Amino acid sequence: MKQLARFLFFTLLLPLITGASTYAELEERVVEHELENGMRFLIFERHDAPLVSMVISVKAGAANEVTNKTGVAHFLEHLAFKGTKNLGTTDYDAEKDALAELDKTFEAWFQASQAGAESAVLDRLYADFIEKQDEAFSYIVEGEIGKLYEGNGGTSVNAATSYDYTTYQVTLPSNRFKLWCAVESDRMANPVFRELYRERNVILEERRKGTDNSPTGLFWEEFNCAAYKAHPYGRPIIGHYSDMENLSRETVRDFYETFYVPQHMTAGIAGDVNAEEIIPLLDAYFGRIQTKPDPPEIITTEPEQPGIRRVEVKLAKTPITVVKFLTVPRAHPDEIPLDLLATILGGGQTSRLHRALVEKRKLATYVSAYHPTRRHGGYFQVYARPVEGVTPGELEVAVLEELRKIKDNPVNTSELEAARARIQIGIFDAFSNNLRLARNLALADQQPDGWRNTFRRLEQASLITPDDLTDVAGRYLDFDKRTVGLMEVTDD
Amino acid sequence: MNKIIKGILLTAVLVLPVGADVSSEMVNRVVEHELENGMRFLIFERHDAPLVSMVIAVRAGSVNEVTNKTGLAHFLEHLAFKGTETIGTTNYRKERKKLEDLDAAFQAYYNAVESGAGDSTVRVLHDEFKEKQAVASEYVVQGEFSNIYERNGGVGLNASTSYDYTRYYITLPSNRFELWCAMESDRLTNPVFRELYSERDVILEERRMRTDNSPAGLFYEEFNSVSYKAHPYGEPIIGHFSDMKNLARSDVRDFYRTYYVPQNITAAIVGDVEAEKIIPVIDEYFSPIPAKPEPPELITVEPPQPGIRRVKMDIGRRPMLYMLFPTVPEGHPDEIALDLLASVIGQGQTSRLYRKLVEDEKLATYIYASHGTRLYSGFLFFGAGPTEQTTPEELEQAILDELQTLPENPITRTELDAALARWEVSLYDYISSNYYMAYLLATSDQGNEGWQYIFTSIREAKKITPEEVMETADKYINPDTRSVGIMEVEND
Amino acid sequence: MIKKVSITFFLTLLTLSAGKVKLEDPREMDFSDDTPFIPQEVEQETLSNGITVFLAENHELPLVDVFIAVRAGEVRVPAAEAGFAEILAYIIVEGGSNKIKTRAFRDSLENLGATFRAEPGSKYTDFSLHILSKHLPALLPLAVEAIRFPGLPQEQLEINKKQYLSSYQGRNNDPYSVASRIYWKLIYGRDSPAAREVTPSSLNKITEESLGDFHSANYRPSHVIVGVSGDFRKAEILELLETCLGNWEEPSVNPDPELDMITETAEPGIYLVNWPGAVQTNIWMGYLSFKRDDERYPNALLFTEIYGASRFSRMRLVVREKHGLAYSPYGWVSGGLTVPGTFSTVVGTKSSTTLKALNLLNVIIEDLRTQGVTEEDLTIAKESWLSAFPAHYSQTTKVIKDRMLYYRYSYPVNFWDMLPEKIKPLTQADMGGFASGFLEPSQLRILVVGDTSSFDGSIAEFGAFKVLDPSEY
Repeated sequence: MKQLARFLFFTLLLPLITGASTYAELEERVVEHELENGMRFLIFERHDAPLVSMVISVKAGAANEVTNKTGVAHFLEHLAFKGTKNLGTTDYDAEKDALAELDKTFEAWFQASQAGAESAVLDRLYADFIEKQDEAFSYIVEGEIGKLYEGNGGTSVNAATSYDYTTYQVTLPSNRFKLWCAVESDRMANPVFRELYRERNVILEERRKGTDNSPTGLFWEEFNCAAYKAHPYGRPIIGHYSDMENLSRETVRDFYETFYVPQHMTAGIAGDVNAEEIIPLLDAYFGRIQTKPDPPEIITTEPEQPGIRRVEVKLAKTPITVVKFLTVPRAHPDEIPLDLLATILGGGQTSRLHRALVEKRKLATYVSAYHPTRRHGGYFQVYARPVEGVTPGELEVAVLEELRKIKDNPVNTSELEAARARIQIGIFDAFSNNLRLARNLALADQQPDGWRNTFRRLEQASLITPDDLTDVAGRYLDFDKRTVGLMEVTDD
Repeated sequence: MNKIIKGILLTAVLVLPVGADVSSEMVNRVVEHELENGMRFLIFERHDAPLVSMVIAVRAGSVNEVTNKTGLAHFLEHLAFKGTETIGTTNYRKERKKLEDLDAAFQAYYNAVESGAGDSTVRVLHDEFKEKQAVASEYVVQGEFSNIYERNGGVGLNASTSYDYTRYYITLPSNRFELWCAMESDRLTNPVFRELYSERDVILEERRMRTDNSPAGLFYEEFNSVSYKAHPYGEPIIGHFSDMKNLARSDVRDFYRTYYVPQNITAAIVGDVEAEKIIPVIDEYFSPIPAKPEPPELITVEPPQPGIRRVKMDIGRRPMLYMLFPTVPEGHPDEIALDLLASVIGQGQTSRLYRKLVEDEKLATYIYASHGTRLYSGFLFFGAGPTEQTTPEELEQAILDELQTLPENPITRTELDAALARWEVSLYDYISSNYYMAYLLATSDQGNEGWQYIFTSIREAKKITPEEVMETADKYINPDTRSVGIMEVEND
Repeated sequence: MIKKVSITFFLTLLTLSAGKVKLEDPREMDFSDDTPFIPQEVEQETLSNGITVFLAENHELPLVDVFIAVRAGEVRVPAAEAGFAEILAYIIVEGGSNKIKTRAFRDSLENLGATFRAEPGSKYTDFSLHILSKHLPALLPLAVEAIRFPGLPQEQLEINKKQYLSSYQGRNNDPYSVASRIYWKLIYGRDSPAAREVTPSSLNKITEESLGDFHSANYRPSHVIVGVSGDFRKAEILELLETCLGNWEEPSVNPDPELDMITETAEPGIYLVNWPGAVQTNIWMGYLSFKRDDERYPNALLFTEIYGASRFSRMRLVVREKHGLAYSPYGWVSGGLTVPGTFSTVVGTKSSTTLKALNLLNVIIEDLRTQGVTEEDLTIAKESWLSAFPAHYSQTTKVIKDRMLYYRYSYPVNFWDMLPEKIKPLTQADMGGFASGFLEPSQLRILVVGDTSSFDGSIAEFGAFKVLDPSEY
């Protein structure tokens, strides 16, 4: 330690003078703009390269789905790339009728198959369906949105669905900003969910890839499901297989009509644009999204967990131990102390759990702790991988022993300082890349505490004392209310 | 009601010859009657006493509820006793308007609370709601629906909600049969869900009594929840507290309109009536119920369980162990063999598990097994209580060990015959009671196999060989895919 | 930009125009105002001992990234000792220097929110330090010390070995991992530094001592390239680098020789791994291509867009969108920096459409081989590639990394910047010629991992096949 001090002292004699921004300056640079229909925009100008990244976040996700229809938020996200009344079609008026016919033939086939009709009947109905589908396909301009973006140098053309949000992103050469306005405002306002039946096969392949054909994926689905009794956070975002197989155009449309409302949309725009110049474009293009009523709120709340829940899955050769405690939603006063606690206990190789379980006791090859918060609830989670010869169950016991020590051995100020330093660099990191910044701004805007709070986190963290951490550890890391996931090694 | 059942049991023993042909004789005695609107009636005459029992089974239960609205089927069952447009009101025309005002006042109050309005606003709106509630209640004739039955000698007036069905029961002096027709056809046509807000408090109390305030109830809810990942069988029938608190009149009405359709309703009438005479009466009262479209089918299918799921609580007054293996739905070809398996290994004091674990090894104070099947899936269930010297985990292991010995120690013909004999006795016990007979007929008529299954299943059971039972044991008792619940005694 | 015949809806758009802004159909927009893009200038300097340094300043955020590349990858390690270079890289960033070891080393980094990472590649090991700029004088010397004088703590070595062991045990966990692992062995050889993995027996050979020897021989100034981007001043960073790196002298021992990257290539044909219970079949197929300095490389870039890597590619539009057969079908022709790259295709499809997918892939390749690319293919691929060119340099760190990459393999440092001019003149005939000459279906090594009992037919219908046991790979 002495050596280190001398070393640091020596090097600190050479201070580097820099002119970089402070938080306040960065915050100042964000331009906020809201349309009459309630859609919001956060713009951050940066003229380093002739590029601009845009991310639209819609406050609608898998948590808004209902029984029998899981996976619809993610399916809608896929279908949003199939075009609009304008894009992706050669003649929407004719296509519209063809789609209506198509749905009828599908419904007829589906009903007959549910009712156990004879195979000859089913074959005939299926042939009708295929015929109508081919007819509908005859109006399609395949992949037009993707082609428009990528043909114009778009990169990172993608979308993602989480429990609380669906995001749509692209990076474009900055002189093509208007293209984004035209495409996105059109698909937010006039989407047509064409190619639905075959896209359903694609999401089923996606589910197979991530879950049904992947022991680790299946393990996480089991574990997540066990952690919730009532709340939709316990369901897979991609959906249950049986539900996905049956998602209909009507279901997708209802979800879109209900939840894709402009007052629940925020776009983050970061890069080589001029806010003053683009605001009239935003007004004109996105202003055409019609006002809709506020969507229903999620009613179900997760009741307090009355006991220990565990899943033990024996499917692979890589053992895993996970321990989860449900905590607080985003912007709750205990959020930041819990974040800091997670960093100190399990963020990196200086963390307490790493030192104890990997270095000292040699029971784990890896351990980490984290505290993600969602709109309706967060969780504190410890993830660890046992070394050969240690079972996941034994590692669970050791994890708990180490967590328990926080009571007798409270967090010290230097640990707290280090955790704060990570928050500090994290805020700057969030600004370092246009796409990331656009996403962060869009998502932050939809948090209960608003986007500006992103900049307050360090300030808030600086008010937290070691006692606060002991306090949240005592209240939330209640071993009698934990959920445990153990991936055990297969026998053969 | 108890007295009546006992009475019936006594007479039944004298009357029913327990022989091989009894079941086919029973089948012939059931008179089936179906109305044009699809509602079905099963009539079984028995003139021992001047009484008749009626059970109405609706194929609608908590399995049909969706996210945010759990508890709806059960709430509807409660509100079905609040009367109709003619029963339970002094003036429905005026009352209707007051109910609308009441709902509007409630909604205003509710929205204010949700949007975080100030205390004073909330208080004003709450007072307004209470005032409207008082106004609406002026038109209510409390308990009129039940009172009419009771004044007419009705006993056992009740109802129940399960995952798959909602059932309404009553036993009346047989000359009051027409009264039943009038009352029930009225509530199946013109129910008025009055006194909704106060009844909601009642079901919340019911939930507190059965679940939140009952360690055993909460334990069961946890165990059941973890046993399913996708299917609504994992939700509590009574509902999640947060959902129940928010159930609205429009929810109840939607559920009623969607699922209480005549083609999904069977009434069984067992007792001192003459089918020929009552059919015209039935037609007169129940035919006017309008036909309705088929309700939507349940889509979600429970995927195969990939591992072990466990819950553990320590709030019990006595330790308990639950263990469950997923099996098959009602009517599946393996169902009956599984029923017999459960009987042989875990029913009664001669069962294998009882002898071994209670009598020989003294690890358990009690133990039983059962095979339950529902419309969409079934389970092989074990319940046991460890002795003071045994932990629930030790007992769990002992049961698994005992189940592992099955292949070396196969089920014998003698054991199977004993199980069949017990089945037969209990079936006749049920049949001998008007009430239970009506219950069985109405329920199984709405089931997967139809009402005849009550009788055909035992005939099928007699054909099953010990080897077939062993095969199902091998197929379904997979220790790697079980659910386990452990309740320990509260520490302090 | 693609131009499509506008349709009636376009008229509706026009009538919706608000204020001064006229709403336009996105297909009709004209972006001919593209100005040539010149990436941020990178300065190249040399330290007194000859180490090359690339510098690119950006003062917007108080962050600095330092990249240190050392030509000491697995390519210098015999197959029996696989893992040597990788473990050394990890132990450097985790174990610190011989002055400041594990605990103190990590504390000083993590307590300041810094990250010090190693990315071991076959040829080079890349180190990166990401910090707040005010910590540069304190943390850069600390990181450099670890690279030059690693502490190699025994305990950390044991931890790293256990981590490798655990991932080795999980190597056959799921069909996807197995397919991706075995595929590269079929193409580059089981013992290739690019395809092999660390095994329990190779781990046994790794000791503190042997790691130290490897380090002394291969971590030397002539193997080092440095890049710095972010919030710093040139004069100061050069002084700092000179202080901590400039006095590094070339050791007298010879470096370990670089081994061949391609050790053997499997015969063309079908290789089957039967995986009972798999619900999705993983198909990986391909063969070796050529190096990046090959004149066909620009064609390969456009071909990749058209064949398998874009939203308008055949993989996307035919395999995924038209037939719904796969979630992320993907295909590319890469140009290797020092050895040939590959033509590769990756598709995951449900078991019951395995043969259907194989047939479809065959049709797509055959069509491109015999018919070449369409005019629309070529137009959109070019527009896409050329207009996305600036995105290659979207951040200062990307510019620095690009320069370091081409410099290290003796390509012109502006290799990438010369590509647009090579891509612009490519014609349909050029692309057709490329496809017909390069695509050789008979050369494909086709790896199929799935549950054969659930396939839509016998794989034998598709040709002779060899069954592989994943535990032997």
